[in-house]
Amino acid sequence: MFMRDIKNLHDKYFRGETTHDEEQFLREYFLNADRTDDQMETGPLFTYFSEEASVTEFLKGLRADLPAVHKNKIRRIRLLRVLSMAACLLLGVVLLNRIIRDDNMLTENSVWINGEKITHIGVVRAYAETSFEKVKSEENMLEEQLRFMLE
Amino acid sequence: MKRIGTFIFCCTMLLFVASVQGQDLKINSIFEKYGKLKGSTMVILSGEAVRNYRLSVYRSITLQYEAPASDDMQQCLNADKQQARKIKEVIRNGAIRSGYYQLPDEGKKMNRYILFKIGDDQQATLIYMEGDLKSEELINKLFIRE
Repeated sequence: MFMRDIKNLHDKYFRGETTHDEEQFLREYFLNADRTDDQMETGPLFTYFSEEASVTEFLKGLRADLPAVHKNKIRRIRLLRVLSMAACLLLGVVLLNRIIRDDNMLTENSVWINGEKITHIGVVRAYAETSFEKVKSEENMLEEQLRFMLE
Repeated sequence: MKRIGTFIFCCTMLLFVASVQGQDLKINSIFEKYGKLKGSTMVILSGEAVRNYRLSVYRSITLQYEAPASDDMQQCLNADKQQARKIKEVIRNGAIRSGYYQLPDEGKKMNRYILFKIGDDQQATLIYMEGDLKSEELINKLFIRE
């Protein structure tokens, strides 16, 4: 193929009119042929894919050559990753359960008398006031302490 | 390797948070353990029901002061008072007879209190409350005779 045809194909490519076969031809051409000055900039565009394929092949080969010790290490890391995720999920469930349980306990207004639950708000308030009265000091704390010291 | 390190760090942090949450007040176990038993009276109030008292949570338990509840109460109070900001208590023969403890707010921007008293009838009352109520107001209500 003449240089003029290559140039036409090159221009056609940048107009987006080339077929798959024509693009394949351009890739092979730029991979093997010496580039002219005006092709120096666009040449790497065509060789990129074939170079990438060769790099991928090289990496695949490298992975296949990995010693058994490295493979075990990778397996261990994967296992560790899975276990960490499972532990996090479990922890999340436990914490969520705890929060929900605490919320239920704190938001439900009730009084438990001898194991029986009463939710009537008037009754609950009355028992709350009674319990508060029970912790009130009948005497001044200072007096109480002084009396204890003198006992 | 760096990603795994980050992941393990996150797990450790989660465990730390969980353990910190687990270190919350010991007296909670008293409510859970004895609140629904025969001979106990447990009050749980929150939200609108206690807003008038400038509180958001009010929990109390009244029960006969005898073993094993008495031992549990003493242990829990002794543990929780370690983190208290203010303490007023009466101790007789090494046991807390009455106590008032103001706890740190734990970032909730509200006051938290534990109140405890053993009455002459050997009934022990334990109260936990949290809310806007100022300690001075509470002390006035508790200790100043009207």
